[in-house]
Amino acid sequence: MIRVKDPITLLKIITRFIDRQIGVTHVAVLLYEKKQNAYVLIDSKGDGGTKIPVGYVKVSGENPIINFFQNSNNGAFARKEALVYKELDHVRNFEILVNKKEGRAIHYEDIKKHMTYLRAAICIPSFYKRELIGVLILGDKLSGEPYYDPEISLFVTLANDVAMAVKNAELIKDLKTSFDREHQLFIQTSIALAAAIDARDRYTHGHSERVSHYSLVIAKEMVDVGKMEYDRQFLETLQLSALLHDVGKIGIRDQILNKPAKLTDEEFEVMKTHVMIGANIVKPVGGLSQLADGILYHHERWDGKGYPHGLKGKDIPLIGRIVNVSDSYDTITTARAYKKAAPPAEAFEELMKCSGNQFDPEIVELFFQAWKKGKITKRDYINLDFLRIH
Amino acid sequence: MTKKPRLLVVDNEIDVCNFVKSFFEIRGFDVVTAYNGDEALKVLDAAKVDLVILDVVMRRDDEGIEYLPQIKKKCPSAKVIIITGVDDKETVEKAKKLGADDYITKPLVLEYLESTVMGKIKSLSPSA
Repeated sequence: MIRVKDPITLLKIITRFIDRQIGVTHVAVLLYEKKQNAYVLIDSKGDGGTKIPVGYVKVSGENPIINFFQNSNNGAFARKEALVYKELDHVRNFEILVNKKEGRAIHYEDIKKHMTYLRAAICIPSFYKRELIGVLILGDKLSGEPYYDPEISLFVTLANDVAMAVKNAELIKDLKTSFDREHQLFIQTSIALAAAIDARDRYTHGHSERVSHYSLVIAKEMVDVGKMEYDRQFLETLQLSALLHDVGKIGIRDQILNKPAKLTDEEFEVMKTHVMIGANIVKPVGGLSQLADGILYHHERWDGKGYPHGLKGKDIPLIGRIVNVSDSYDTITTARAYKKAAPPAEAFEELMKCSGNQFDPEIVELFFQAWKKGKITKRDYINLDFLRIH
Repeated sequence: MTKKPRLLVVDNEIDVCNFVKSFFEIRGFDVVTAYNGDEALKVLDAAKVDLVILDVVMRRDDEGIEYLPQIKKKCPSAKVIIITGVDDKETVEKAKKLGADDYITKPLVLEYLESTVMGKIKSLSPSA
């Protein structure tokens, strides 16, 4: 089988090959288009008025040529794999091909008429299994000679290769589309969930989305400076994990979550449970093993004084160390009940101060570098296509 | 009919002009072509035609549809069939108001193009 990524390219190669090797008045290809529910002329090669302009002409499923091929298995006609105009000359006008299933008749006279429309000396169907994908149309040979059987056999082989290539490309596209759609749906569901959490606190509107954005900025910087290999799965997990880092707050009482004053020790202990609650919420999400890590470990500290496990340094999973920094950055740069929003420069000063005790110094530095390069955008974090970041 | 019916094809694409020209020449038409609206008007200055096939999705600065009233003015007896893109009902309505007799959407079915043109020619000369 011929392997070409883009089936249209393959079609063009084939039409040019035939045009050059055999020398015909014109070559054209009709290809089935779902959107039009018709066979549209997608490539054409030939001189002057013989060339049918691409995209100008279509042929419906009712066309007798198409009909003939679609039903050729039921026919009594000698040659099923191709229609040769000259052979039709010998078929008497009243002879018909009956499509038994639908009780319709196809007149050879009609087929001839439509072949003259397309100026076709021969029409070769392109089948994938029993599905008619397209039709290869050849005009007369420039030499005036008839088409010989071995030539027709070659065309039939080429046409079937084309069908295979077209179908494969279609299947891959369908698969990719449905994957993208599901992925998008998953991300959007997560955004909705994150927004629901943020909505409980009037000061944290958009917090989760921003933390997700900052986390990706850090990860991209790590990739850019060679600290980390590009890893799509990791980026996807990080994006989601950061988005859902506070999902556990769903289980925290309003009096504690929205308390305008400092929390008591007891209340703070309750507040701390949000990381465990959150990690447990996302555990059933299969496929992304580290998803819970960003949630569970985003309050661990580099010096080991964080929670829930008091992990130290690089014992804290990277994803947790990243979300920790971006979460703090957003808290500093946005207003709270008890404080005003600080500008980024001030926020980085504060992050630097806590670098090495609260935060992983390397991550703070990378984040700072990314900010200096203008990588942190102020735009609304709506477009969550993590692939675009690289 | 003693005289060959005369057809004017207006399209930016040379391939379309050539193809439609030879398609109708085989069917006994006298076909002239124009690549834009200005050229079409010049053709009409030289001689009358029976039918005009006008592409209204021309890519140059002049949109084909804007030439419709002038074409109709220069050659009132000519039937005008416009070729339009799919899902372009607005253009079709506008063209009809400006005097188009019929429309065909691209990509087109050749049989339909032929029957539409033949039908219009017949309506022009009921005696033939």
